Amino acid sequence: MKEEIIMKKKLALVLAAATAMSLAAGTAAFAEEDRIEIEFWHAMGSSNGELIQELTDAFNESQDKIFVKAVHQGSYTEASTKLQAALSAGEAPVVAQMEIGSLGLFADAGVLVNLQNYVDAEGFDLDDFMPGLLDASYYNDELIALPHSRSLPVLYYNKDKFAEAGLDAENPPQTWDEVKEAAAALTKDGTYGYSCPLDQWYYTSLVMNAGGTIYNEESNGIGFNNESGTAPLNWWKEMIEAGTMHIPSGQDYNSSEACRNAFAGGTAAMIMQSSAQLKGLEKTCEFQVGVAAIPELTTRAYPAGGSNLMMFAGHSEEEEAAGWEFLKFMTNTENAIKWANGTGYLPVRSSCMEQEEYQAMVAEDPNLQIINDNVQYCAEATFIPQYAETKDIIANEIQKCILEENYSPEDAVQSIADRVAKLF
Amino acid sequence: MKKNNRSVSERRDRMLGVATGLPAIILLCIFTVYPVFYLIYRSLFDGSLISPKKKFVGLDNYVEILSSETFHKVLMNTIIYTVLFVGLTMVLAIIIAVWLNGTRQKKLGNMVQACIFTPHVISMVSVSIVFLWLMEPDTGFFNMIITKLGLEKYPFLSNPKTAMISLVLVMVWKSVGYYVLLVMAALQTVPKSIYEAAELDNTSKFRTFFKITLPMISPTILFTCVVASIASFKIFDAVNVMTQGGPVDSTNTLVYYIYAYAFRLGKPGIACAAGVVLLVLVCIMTYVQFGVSKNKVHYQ
Amino acid sequence: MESYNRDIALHKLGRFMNAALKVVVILIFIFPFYWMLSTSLKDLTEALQFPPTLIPSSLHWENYAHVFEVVPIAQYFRNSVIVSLAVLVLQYLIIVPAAYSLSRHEYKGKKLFFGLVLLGQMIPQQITFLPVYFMFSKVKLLGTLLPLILPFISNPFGIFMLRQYFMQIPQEVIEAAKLDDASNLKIMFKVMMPMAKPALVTIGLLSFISTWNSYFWPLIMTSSESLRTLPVGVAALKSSETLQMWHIIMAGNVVLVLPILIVYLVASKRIRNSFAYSGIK
Repeated sequence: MKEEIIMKKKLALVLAAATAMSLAAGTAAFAEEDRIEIEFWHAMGSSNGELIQELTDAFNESQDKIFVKAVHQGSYTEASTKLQAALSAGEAPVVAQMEIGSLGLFADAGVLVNLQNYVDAEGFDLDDFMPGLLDASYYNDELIALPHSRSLPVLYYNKDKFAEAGLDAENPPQTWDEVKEAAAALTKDGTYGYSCPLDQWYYTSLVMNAGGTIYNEESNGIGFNNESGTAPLNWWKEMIEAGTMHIPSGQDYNSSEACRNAFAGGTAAMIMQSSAQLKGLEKTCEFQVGVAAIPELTTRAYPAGGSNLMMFAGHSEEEEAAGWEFLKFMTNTENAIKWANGTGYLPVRSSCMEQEEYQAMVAEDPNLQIINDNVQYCAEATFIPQYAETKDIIANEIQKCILEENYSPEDAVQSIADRVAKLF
Repeated sequence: MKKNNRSVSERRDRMLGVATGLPAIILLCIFTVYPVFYLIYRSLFDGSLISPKKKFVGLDNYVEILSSETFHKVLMNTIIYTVLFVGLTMVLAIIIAVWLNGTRQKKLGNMVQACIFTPHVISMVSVSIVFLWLMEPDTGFFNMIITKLGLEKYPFLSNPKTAMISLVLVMVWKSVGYYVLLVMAALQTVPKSIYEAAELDNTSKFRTFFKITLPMISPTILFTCVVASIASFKIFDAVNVMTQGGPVDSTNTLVYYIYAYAFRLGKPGIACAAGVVLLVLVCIMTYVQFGVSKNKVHYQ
Repeated sequence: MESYNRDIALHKLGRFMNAALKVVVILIFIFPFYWMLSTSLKDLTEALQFPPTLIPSSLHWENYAHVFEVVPIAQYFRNSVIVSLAVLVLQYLIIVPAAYSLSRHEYKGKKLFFGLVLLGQMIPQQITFLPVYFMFSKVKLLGTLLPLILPFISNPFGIFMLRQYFMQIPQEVIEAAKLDDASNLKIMFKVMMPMAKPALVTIGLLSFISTWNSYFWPLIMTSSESLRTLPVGVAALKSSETLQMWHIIMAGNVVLVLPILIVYLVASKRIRNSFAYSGIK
């Protein structure tokens, strides 16, 4: 009998505990349920990733209606792949940070929300956005993205090595010839003066600095089937032959990683990389990192780079409204400053420059100023659905020209022209 | 009465047979049969990965890939890779197997066997990452050896001429232990009496090998070559981790091409068409495999 | 006498060279593992310096802490374990009855079933992945680990091998059990399975190793970090930071390799025999 009573008491205790726990869990869930939860996919890793998480956390703490879950999806290429996959499965997140190059792909498929409605309903100030940057947010005259992580290609250089080679560390080379000379002076003892991934973004930035455009005016072929296309390849070939240029291994973002490794390890004294790598490089390099504009040949113009924030259709009104709130938060002046100056991405709003906080950060790190000075040269770019394949074709052909023999720059550029024309 | 019992128990027997086999049958139909049909079906449409809308284009996708220079290169690369890999691996495997089989240092020999097999059990990703690091052009171990020998650093995987062979050598390192195992098993089926007879006749080791050993194990060798070839067509992991198809498409192989078109360039129609080409290749090689294995049985 | 001594000397030299060659071969196959471990214990500067040091100047075990904290390696590890074990256990539920059915029963369509098994062995995942991907995407299962498990539990090789084993069980043993009035289920469990134990072990070992090492399929089927398996996660380490942190990448690689290496060290002979069997069939 005694055992029975003990058993019953134990049972009662367990039941009571279970009930209490489920009530607590239920309440907790109920509390969570009050918040709309939406997902935000991004391609930021390392220190940039930490910062974007901080900003997301700040958003979540600033209000109690919405909870944003930030998910890191790898590089821009990987994130775009995963997003396409998610879209085909009907499981796309509400908000995502997508490379501007894929704008055409998504917009053409009609999966992006037209943000103009929200802008008009609230009288949201679009004019404050830097004009050059806002251009890459429209497709067919519809506003389908907000500028956020926009970057430009820059020339990073090792100030310590500059000093050692007798070059002026505060006056980096500005033209193609100057870079060639500097590279020659810097190449010694296992260090190359210059390195650059054989990647379409850096190639096209050189093309544009030689006066070309990516697509032609009719938008049915390339706009550099002339000297502007062959000049960069000749420039690279000359430096390679002189032994002053190092070629990083791998494709796509892998070659950029290898390039940065070479820079940090002292194998390359000058590299061409995205401005978004600024803070990351400053943190990991054990020498003074300098920033300069991409050298110019005839003009100064850069292809747009980086990513925008987009909202995907197919979600409830509530979720879209929540997404809009998040988009506004991430692109407001205060956060634009935090983001830009914490990474090397461009400040997307003109009002950023006027803020004290911004000026203080720039005073601390003059490299930021150099980046911002060059925003004005970002040229309008057309991001059409064929861009993904165009990228591949360009990368393939320039690599063939540089890495193989008997394939001249003229052959490469002509081949690019032919192959891209077929895409239309 | 008896007849009834027998047919009832026969029916029960049959039903039980079907019932126990059903789960496997269903799964195999879903994951093997259906995909093959869908692959062929989907290859006749265009469309993107994102939107479900697609248009029937008939054989256009096939025309596109068969006239694409990139696809030609991809097919060539896959065949070259297969020939190089199977050739190198089998030759090495035979040499090592004969060596280990005839050695008197049994303990050491067993250790060698165990060690050379180790790369085969670990992930292809692990092997690729380690060799990517060893072959790193600026700071890798191999280049340290090379510079110590007074030569210049070499970009194994970023030179279009050497990327493929570097890839092949990594795969040979990973797999040779497995093929040594198979060849040794074949060697052990050769009756010792034949070797003893050869020794009595004072036959040299070389003659023994070429005139006796090799012919006796050649059916197994041939069979293994065909099986290894089929496996080689499927190479992907090492390409994706080490070279991403480059440089200049020198290591772009069939499965990598399919993957890139499906997920990076968002053209599932093309990907499926290329997939059908792979299917045809696998079918042909499997047919050859059956033919060769028949010989094998016959020979015994 | 002189030539006799010389012969002995040559013979000894030959034996020595033979042994030395074996040691060299062993080193060729062991060195990359050592290099992996050595790099994983260096700090960033030492890992990226050239020429690299053969032995780390000090052992930086915190790299492993980094790999578990900053990179969710523990998560990837957990997913790998779940998937590998799930496939291992669930496949027995499918293949044992299937092999039993193919070996000891007669019914219409049995040849078709066997043909299906052969087809399954022939068609590789590199052909089926895209349609299967679309299939799982339609039923919205891509957000789970199921796509990594379900397609593999009908392991055709396992069915094939078990069927051969079952077929080799002498009829008299079955008859004896039937005389003892054993039900079919009992026969399967108490008689056939114990006799097929070597096959079951082989299938289990090969399946576990292959699932654990699998890269292509999880790469395609999982898009979120919470579902990633270890090989996919470790491969992604190459591009997750500003620089390629080789010491961290190698630490992750060691974590990936270690479980299989341990299994291999424990059951090396058994594993090799399993692979040998699968290669000779």
